[in-house]
Amino acid sequence: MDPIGLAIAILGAAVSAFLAGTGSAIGIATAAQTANGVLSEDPSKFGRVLILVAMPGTQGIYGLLGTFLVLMKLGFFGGGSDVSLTMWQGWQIFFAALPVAIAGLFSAIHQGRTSAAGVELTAKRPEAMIQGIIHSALVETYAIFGLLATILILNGIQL
Amino acid sequence: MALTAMQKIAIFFPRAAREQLLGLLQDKGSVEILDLKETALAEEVEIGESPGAGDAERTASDIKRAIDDVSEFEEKGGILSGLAGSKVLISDDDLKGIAESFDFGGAVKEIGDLEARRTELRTKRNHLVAFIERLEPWQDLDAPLEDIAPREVAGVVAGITRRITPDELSQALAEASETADVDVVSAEKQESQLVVFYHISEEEPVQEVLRRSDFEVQTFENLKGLPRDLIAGTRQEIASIDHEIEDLAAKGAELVRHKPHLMIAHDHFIEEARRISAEGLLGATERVGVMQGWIRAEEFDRLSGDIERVVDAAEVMLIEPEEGEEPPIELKNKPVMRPFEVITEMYGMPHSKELDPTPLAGPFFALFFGFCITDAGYGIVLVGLSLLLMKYLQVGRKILWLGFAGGIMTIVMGALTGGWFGVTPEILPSWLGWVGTMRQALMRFDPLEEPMTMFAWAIALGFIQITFGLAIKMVEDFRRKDIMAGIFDQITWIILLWSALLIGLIKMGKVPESYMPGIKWLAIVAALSMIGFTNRVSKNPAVRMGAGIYKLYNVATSSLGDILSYTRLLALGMATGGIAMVINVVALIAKDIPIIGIPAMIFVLVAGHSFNIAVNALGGFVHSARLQYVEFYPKFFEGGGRPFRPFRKELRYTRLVEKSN
Repeated sequence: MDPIGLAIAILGAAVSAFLAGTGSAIGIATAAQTANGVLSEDPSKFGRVLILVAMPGTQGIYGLLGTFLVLMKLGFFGGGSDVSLTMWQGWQIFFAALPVAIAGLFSAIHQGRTSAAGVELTAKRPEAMIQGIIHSALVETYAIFGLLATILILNGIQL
Repeated sequence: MALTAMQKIAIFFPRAAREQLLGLLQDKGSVEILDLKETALAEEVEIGESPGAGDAERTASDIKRAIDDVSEFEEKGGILSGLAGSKVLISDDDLKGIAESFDFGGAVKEIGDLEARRTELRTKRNHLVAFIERLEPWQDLDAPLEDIAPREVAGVVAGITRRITPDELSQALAEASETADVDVVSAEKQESQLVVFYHISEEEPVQEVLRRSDFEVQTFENLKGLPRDLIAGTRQEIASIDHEIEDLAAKGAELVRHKPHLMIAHDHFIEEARRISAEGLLGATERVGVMQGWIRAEEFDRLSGDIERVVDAAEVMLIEPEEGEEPPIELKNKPVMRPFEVITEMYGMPHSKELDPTPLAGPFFALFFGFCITDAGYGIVLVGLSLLLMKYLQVGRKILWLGFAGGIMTIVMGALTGGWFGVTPEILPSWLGWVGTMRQALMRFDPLEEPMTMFAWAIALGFIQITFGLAIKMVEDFRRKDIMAGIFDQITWIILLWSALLIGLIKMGKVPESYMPGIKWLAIVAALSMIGFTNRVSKNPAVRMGAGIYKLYNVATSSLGDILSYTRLLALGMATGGIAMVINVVALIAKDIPIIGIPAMIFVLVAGHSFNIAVNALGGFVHSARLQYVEFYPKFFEGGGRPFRPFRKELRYTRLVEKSN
């Protein structure tokens, strides 16, 4: 048994949550700043813009899920404590975590910008809110595919 | 599946009855009035004007501002009452009566004055606060501020240093001058407030040292007295302003009593403005007025009867649309499908010769929504919540019904995949063992253990919906007698799609090898017909082939992208289930906290699962809609229709009810 393998795998679990989470934080900040500007004019729009602001938050959740899936693969839950990984298996798991981490990081930042534009759209034409949400979701698609890639790769790794 | 049939009508009426007619049409709300300027009649009649519409609109917007202002003083109700909105229920006659008798001008002015005074006080208060903030560091200064000024023989400068300490500055000054002295008013870590004295003859070297040390000179022009006295005085002033603001708030709370009347007056003037501006759409000759519009065919008889009864000598008749004129579109579906109309309306209306895609997309939408959540427990919550809100809320029923339908599919999908609030049998206490048994009995597979099965389901749904979309288009083509398009545009595509799938399944060993040659030939024939017949107009074989090959390339790439897009269902579904499990794990950890363990666990469970439901219901809604918009609709749906907008009352603050006695 090689402790470095487990360490590398845990690095993967950590990176998944922290990169995707960072992206979400940046994305939400971008959208929230625009939203605050809109609310300074019209506080009654809070409910409408909140959804747009919250949208880039999902990447952080996907990242957390990535962490969870890696930990589950390693048997952290459910009593299977005799984890033994070779270094190469550790790297495999680390690489498996990258799609959700990196796609999450960048898509959340850009989704934040799209959402910010959606907030402005909603400010001018409240009835167009859903269109703004759909556009924001188009960006999110690629974080979902990142998560999907992580799920599929993790599923394929033999421990 | 259908669109409401529309008929174009013309109404002739005595010129003087114009207002009466518009009032009636507004009440009935079933006619869309066309702008006569844009019709062939425009040159033959005099087009109406709408004098005073702007005045009524301005009055309404003044009243609206007063309503917004006065709402700030209102006591806030609970969330539910906020959602339900607080509309005034009133009968039509009372609306008019109150709007005309109520002195809204006085109330608007009173509220406006109060708000103006409040804004003024707040601005003043902000200035005073800033003033205190500026003086506060100097409050230990024992000299009146008017003394901080150059004298005949002495220079006196007050200022702030940040980069260097007061000691360092005194040292630097001592090197450059013999008379300079530093009085430290306050010294903090970040910055120090100092007063520097020197003999006037040493002005230059001292100033030079101060410049080099980034000494930020402060001037206190027009200020007299000790800083601490000034601060105390200002604090008193702020207190009296606060007092006055409180008084104003109390007065404002009293003015809230005007709000219902203002709401009524607002709606009255908005409706008046709309009616007056509608006059600009009508035309008239010397004695006879004329208007054109669209009406739902089924309402024609009733409305023409109403008009001819109320307006003397009015005449309603059906007319033919002008060349190329399209009727406005209204979707018409069975009650079960009606909530799904929201999806189509957001995308855009079909044109008049198209079918309404709502009932075709609706079931898929609900199924996809269920797929995105795949947790029966969450489904039960969604269904319950939708029913509850439908009972209490007047608004948003369509969306709530979508939540209900999606919730039902969520329960189904959750049961099939063993999702019940993300619980796994290991974490259940023994007295809840039956939950595990039930879960096991209903479950077909566990997506966390077999993601590939879920993957296959998602891909299969993609194949089904895309084939369905192409098949709809094919039927449409046949119905329009465009047999060639049906065969060479749609059927070839369907064959290529399915032969690709089957070849894949054969390679995976799921379908017997013996089908291979047949499928291959079918695919080749389909590809060749696509190449040969995509462009059916040109006689030039090279042009036809070019168009065909390009189409084939497009079909291949876009189909691949479309179908892979459905795999989001798997990822979203697993995200919901995975996060639900995380919440349970965290809750179990919380349970072990001494003393507050059980409440902490309950808090984590309730807050966590509520959050997870909210986020994933939103995600499920958005991504299910996207699959309709980007993958499904373009296969058969063109859109481009103009929604039917009847001339009617659109009240903002009131809801009309039958007059009660």
